[in-house]
Amino acid sequence: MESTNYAVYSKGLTKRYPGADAIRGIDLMIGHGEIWGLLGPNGSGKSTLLKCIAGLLKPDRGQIHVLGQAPNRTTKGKVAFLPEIDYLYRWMKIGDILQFVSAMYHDWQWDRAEELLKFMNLTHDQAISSLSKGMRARLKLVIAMARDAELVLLDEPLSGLDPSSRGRIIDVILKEFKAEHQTMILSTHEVGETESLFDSVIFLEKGKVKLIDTADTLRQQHNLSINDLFREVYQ
Amino acid sequence: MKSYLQLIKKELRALRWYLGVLMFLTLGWHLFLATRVQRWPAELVFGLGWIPISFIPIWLLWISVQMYRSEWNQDTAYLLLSLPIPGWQITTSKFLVVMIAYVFSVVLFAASFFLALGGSIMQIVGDCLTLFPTIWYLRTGLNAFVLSVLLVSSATMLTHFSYISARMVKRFQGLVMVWILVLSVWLMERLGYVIEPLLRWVPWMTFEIGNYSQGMVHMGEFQMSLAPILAPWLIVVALFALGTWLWETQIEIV
Repeated sequence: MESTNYAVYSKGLTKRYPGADAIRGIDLMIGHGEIWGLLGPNGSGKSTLLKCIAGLLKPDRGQIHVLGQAPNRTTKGKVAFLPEIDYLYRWMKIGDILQFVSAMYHDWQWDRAEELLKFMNLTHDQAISSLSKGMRARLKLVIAMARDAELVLLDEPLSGLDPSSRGRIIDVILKEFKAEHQTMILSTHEVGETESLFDSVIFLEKGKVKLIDTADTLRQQHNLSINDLFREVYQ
Repeated sequence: MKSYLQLIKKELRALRWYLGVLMFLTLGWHLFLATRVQRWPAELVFGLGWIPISFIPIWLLWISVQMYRSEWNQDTAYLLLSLPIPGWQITTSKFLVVMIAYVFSVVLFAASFFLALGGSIMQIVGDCLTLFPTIWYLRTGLNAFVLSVLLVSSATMLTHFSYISARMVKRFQGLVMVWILVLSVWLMERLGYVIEPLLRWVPWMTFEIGNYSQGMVHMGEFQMSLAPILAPWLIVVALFALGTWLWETQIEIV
């Protein structure tokens, strides 16, 4: 089957919310071993698309295959999803949430988790409720990257963070991404700092794909950086 | 199994504040009554001592809803729904913890009642306690507990099913939940009536009843068929299983 060759394959993918289509007829063929930038302004459908890939939303029309199959419990075990919102139990300590998540995934790597915690200046005994927004964002990234997931989905990992937290997060993405067996899709509208990460880029607008190609091809075709192209496309 | 144990642990820890408040209120109420023993009639103190247990069913229904509602209110449903674990692990871990809370609350009530008000209880019922053999109290208590567990588990499963089903609509979820709950109770009764004949083979439950007359206690046996209780309970289990399926396959995070 064609979809087995791709980390993510979708055809005519449509998801409706009451009163509006969040994404409309999206066709995607995302290969293995690349970092994809999912770019677009607020409301363009980035989060909805990532939720469909993560198996948190069911398409209303069209099809989507993740790692060769429709999103299900098995694909959830191979996908690391970092949502934009704070989805961690606030009454837990960092050590508790790591214990909890580690018991759920076969690909959890404690040594990597410890290394990442240290790099992010976080400790097991810190209460999640006492963490700043930047620290919580770093913790979410630790949880996503401490796994050896085949597909990593990061939804606005830099949103609203201070420069030092952003820097650490980008460093971790660069350091921990294993191109030989991982694929990453990173949604953002903060293109300047993340541009260097992307192998390929998808521009979304009003739930549709506006531009899609490798980052190098887009730069050459438009003679602009991805950041400048982003500004031009959405101005 | 590691994941299941972690889920149960998480639910228990999330509930610890509620259990703490319950413990504080129950003990506080009984200790307050203990200070009234000499001032108020013993019968009044004894009667008021039962008040906490009358709130337990409402409290259990409230925490049953709350343990799901908080997953959405605090956005932790993102985490739960993205886990690669079967839906039954999530739904039964929540159900199991409600049942643990029930057992805890009953034991807490009994211990608090007897520790704080043991003296005044003995004043009122002391003579009655000697009328029946101890084994009778144990058996009757156990039978009543088993029946109460069936009742509480049914109410909990129906509440969980109703909450999960109501999550499938975008608006008026509270109202929809109440309607689903009412319909579920109706369905439980009707379908329970239909399948009851299939359960006639289930052994009957025996109660020993003591009649006190003319200064003598006469022990007798009362037998009750479990089929009319088990049949609707099985319908409730089926609805709970449907709720689990809905959780795993239909519930979305918008």
